[in-house]
Amino acid sequence: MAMEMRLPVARKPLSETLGRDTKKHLVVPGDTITTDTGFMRGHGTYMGEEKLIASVAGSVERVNKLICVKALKTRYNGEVGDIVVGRITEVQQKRWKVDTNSRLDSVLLLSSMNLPGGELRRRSAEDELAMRGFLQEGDLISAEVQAVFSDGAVSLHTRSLKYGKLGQGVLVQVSPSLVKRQKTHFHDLPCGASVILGNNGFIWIYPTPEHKEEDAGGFIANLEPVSLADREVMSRLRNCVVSLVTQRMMLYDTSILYCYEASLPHQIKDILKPEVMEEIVLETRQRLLEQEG
Amino acid sequence: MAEGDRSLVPPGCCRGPSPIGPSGPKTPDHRPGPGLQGGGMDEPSLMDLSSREEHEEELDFEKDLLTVPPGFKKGVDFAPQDRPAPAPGLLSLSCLLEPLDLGGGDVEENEAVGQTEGPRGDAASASPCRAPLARASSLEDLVLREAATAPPEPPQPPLQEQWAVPVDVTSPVGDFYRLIPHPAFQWAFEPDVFQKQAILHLEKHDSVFVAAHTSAGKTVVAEYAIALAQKHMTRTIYTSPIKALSNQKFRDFRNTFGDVGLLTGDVQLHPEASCLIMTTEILRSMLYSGSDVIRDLEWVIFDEVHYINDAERGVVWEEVFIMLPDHVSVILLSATVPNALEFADWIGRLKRRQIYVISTLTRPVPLEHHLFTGNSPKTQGELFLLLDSRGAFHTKGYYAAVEAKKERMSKHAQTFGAKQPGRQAGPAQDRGVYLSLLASLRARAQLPVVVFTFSRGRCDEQASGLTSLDLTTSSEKSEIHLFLQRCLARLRGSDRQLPQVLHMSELLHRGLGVHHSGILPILKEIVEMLFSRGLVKVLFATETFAMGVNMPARTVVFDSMRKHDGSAFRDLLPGEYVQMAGRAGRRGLDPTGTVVLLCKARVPEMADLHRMMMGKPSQLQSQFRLTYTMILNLLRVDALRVEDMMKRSFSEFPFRKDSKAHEQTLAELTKKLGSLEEPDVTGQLADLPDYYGWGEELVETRSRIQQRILESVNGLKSLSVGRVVVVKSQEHHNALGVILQVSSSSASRVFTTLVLCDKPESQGLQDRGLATPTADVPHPDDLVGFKLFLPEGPCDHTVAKLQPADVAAITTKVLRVHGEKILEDFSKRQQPKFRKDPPLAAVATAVQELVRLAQACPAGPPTLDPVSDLQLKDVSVVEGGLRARKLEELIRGAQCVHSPRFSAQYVKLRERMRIQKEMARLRFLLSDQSLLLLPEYHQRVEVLRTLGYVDEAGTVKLAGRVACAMSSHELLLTELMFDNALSALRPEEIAALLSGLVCQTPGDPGDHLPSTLKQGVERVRAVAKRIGEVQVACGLNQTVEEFVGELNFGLVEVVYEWARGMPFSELAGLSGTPEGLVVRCIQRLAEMCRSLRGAARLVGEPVLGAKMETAATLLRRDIVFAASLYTQ
Repeated sequence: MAMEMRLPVARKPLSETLGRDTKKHLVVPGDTITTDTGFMRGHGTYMGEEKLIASVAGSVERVNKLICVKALKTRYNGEVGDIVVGRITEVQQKRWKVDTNSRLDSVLLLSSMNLPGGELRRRSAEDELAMRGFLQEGDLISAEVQAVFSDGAVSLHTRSLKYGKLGQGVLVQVSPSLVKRQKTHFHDLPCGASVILGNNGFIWIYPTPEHKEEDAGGFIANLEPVSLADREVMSRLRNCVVSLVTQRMMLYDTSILYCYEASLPHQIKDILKPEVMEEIVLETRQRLLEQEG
Repeated sequence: MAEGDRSLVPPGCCRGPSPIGPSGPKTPDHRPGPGLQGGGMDEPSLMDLSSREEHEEELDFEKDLLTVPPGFKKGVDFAPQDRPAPAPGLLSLSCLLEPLDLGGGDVEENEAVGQTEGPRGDAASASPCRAPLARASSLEDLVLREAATAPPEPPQPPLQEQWAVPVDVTSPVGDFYRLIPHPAFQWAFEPDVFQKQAILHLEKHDSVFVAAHTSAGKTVVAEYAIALAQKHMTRTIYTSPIKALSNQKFRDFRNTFGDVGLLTGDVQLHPEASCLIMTTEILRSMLYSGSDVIRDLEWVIFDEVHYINDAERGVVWEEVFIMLPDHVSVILLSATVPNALEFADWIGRLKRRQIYVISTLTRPVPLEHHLFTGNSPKTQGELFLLLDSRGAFHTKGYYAAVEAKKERMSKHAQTFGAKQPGRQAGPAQDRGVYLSLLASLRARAQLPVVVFTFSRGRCDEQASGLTSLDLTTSSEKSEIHLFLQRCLARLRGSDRQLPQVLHMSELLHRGLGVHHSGILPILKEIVEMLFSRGLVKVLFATETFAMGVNMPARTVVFDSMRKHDGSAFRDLLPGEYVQMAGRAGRRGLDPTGTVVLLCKARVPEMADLHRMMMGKPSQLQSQFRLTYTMILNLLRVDALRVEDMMKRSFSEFPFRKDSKAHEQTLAELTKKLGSLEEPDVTGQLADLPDYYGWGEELVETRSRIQQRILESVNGLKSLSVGRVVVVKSQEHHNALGVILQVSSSSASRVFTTLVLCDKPESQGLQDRGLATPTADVPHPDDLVGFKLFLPEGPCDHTVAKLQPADVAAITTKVLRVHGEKILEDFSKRQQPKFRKDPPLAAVATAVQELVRLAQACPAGPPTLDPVSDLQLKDVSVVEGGLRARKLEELIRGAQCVHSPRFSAQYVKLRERMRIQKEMARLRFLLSDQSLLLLPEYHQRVEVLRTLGYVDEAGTVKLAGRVACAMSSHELLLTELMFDNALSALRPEEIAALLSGLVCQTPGDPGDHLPSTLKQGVERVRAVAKRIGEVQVACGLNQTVEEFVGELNFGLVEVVYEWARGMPFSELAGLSGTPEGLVVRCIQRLAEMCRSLRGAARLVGEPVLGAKMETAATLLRRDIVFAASLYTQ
């Protein structure tokens, strides 16, 4: 059995020529952003000696007089309305604790979940006892951020049929800063699989469901074996996402799809080779630029 | 329903959630989710419907067999709404009595034993009511059920389109207690018929619209819904338009139910309760943010839903209706409105469910309307009955009043000489009027009385004027004193010494009260509470008192029948009058309520009075408009588009309600189009489609030019008597005519014209039969010129009245005719007697002349040129003329006409084109493009884009998210924040500046402001100006001045000092604004500070957040934020 082994090599700097936004103002912690006091300080900055200083490594963003630094590598900071993918870590009374890659555990309240069958009533003690039956430790869920507490902890809800327990698929964890904010984060890609691009940097790749489940209330996982073809598509997508992330490309439906198409000449396992990665991401980048004009 | 639940729920209610069951996959969605997105426009699928039918059918059939006693005719007694119950006396009595005794005991027993009795007992006791209730009461369902053996058929589409179902409230509900053996709530009194009807529908989980007078007892319906929801372990939300009303309702419901919460801008009490009372705005923000509360919601009760007519806030109601998830049933309580059905139809269509409209005009206490002309103790008896309790208008009373007034006027004039009549309304005269009136009412034991005055100043004035009046006994005085002491004890020492407090307590001791928006909230509540205990005998109030809760008086007095509605003085609308007058008459205490209209200056016109008292209340109208908050909030979620929101608004409803029919027609047309054979356009016929297009365009261009001509002065001038015109209307096809008479009414001109035509009997039918196949196909000559109509046989004439649109062309010819003579002759010959008479010589000549003209130039006589002859130098006319000439050339050059198959193919093509055109029109009507507000929507989105709130793809950016967090003035606040205009200031300064956004009384900031504040004010104005300019640049029609003008910096200083800790008693000296308004402004300001704090947290600016927090705490103190007495 042939085996390929490589030693780590120095990462090549990303090709600057293609990026449109090379003008990005990048800072590291401690860098002075501006000495002008007329600005407001936003996330990722602090005032020191009349100067606005970056507290994280990332790109400077400005809205009018507000300056904030968007960290390149970060934990997830919740915002109301975000779509997240998370893993149940604990079942408590009336709530679940969910790991969503943020600084504090997120919570999913029993009351902010659809009961199976979509029944409407206030939760009773029986429901509390049955909680582990709905979701147990280790389960993955997709959910929406309902509220953010003052300490930054996030409260989730799954009160729509599109959210709920996730069945079979692949999870890729990336930095939340690489997920592009869009109107929808659920995408059925034409290549035969679907992705959920969680705002928290958890990417869920799963076979496109043939029919949208109607009555499960989102808590019954489909355990039918997934066909080989589907699994191949998903693996390829997974490797494409990983390569996009390595090359620090924003993740959204078009970029993933283009990358997928660019990767088609290669075998799935080869995609992760640095030179292949570079090649397909370059191609993706070019196509995206062309498309944007 | 889950097994575990059954034991918890008392019997009889297990049907509660079951209506949700069949609707199956309809998910509870917390926000405008998928259900809602499709819900509004789509029919529930056929499968869904039929399965539902089936479900009910089975259930019903079984139950019928089990429970209907022998001898009862099936289905008859189940539908009391549709037909009167048979033999009401005998049957209903037994029905009434039996379950009452049994049922009453049953409830108790079952609840106590509950668990042990188990499901079997449940089913048995529940079944009698279940069977009838599971039935839908509408007629078509009944019919279906009769044919029980037939397979369930899908309901007829036309019937389905009717979403509002009027309920008959005249026939009594005899078997009410049999239908509902275990009511969720019972009252000490017997509910009225309309209440029972409503309760029946509530039990079925139907949505209802109840329109009734103020004191008719709509609350009963609300109470039942709350009780029902508690029984079902679900939630009810009760919304009211104003905060004060929420507080009062909170107390009422808490006394009744216990488990009640209150959510307003500044108070949050028991947010977990099963019944939540809130303002509509709060409910809207809950819907936008997808709050938890919406989840278990079963009912939403909208009180005073006619508030949807409010220009500023009406849109909130519409938004809420549109966004409410499907599983929620609504209860709409409204004053009587004429278009209740239409409104209910709209909501029904939105929610795809039927709304039962229960409308009643009856008053539990009938009203008597009087005119009062007295002004002194001598004339205090001058009270004239105008409208009695049966609704008859007494003209006699009116004339008596006029007489009495006139008599005094003349006497007055004699004694004091002629004075100008306008001087009647001085305070002294007012006092005389009131003293005499109150004495008269007191003598007849018709106190307490509410006096409606339409200005705050007058209210105060009148109350203060009555210094000599003392209406309370000493025991009442002590009661009032104690109550006041208890209420005022919560105020700070200096606040208790406020002039308004002292003045009001003095008034209250004497049994007088004042209630308007300028009064401090706590005093208002004291007045309300004392009034409801009967200790305030005379209350001077503005219109706000007429709104909402049960605060009836014996008598209602109108100070005048004119009010200022913000822009001008006008008479009261019938709806307003009815609402206020409805305060008269206490149920169970008074036989009738008395309404008195004061005639101070003169007696109003009878027609005005009649209109006001008997007129129809104003219609419910949509005040839908787009707001930035709405757009931003909707852009954030992908579930509901702004276009959908607009499409579903009540204002679009008249245009959209036919959309189903349009879709159907469209589908039919598509089918028809598919079945038509393609016209052959090969070879010589290659340019046939073009030819058709040219022809159409030419006709259109010509008619457009013609229209311009007829609109122009010169064009109309040319259409004078004697002008020869070409007539093209339904009867006449390109016939020549001569104008005989021009009617001078400018609104719609009518040209009486003598037109050539065929002899009617000789040719008519035959001719038409020949003409249709070929004449319909236009040849170039037809299109280019006017192929004039030439009578083939003997020529006849007729006189036609033409609209401007019937004139196809104006020729250059003018005939010398005697219009009147010809007309006279013609009308004479129309009479049978003279039919055989030969026409006059003048007529014959004119006809001859016309025929000659037509023969001379069959391709059309020379017409007046719009540009050279009529001096129409309009771009559109000139270009139209050029285009027409070009088209004429093209048509002449067309090849297809030479083909032998031209006619046949042309007809085919035309058929096709017409269908396509119709389809395009229908598609347009169905599309978003036809939305009235679409242009404004695009403009507003453009504003947001320019300001950087949303990006090109419509994704909401950081600034947009911040704007979403603001409760009002979202753009201005966000811009101020991002411009760093606030962070540098101190908290009290920020608060003072922001007061400009919430204050409603106009005024100047004053000169002695600190310089930082002055600069701040300028800065706020500058930012507002910038936004205003962006708006104008994007095409919104709000001018910069208007936008900036919305800011009122009148209270800057007051708020500044308040935030710096000045006691309220000293504030009063700083501005002339009434205390109540100051309090309201500060309360709203505190809310705004809180939303700004949230926004600051969102952008990660802790300094501003902390400042806003401080500002809010600085504002929230003492009397301004004294807790409502109702919530204690």
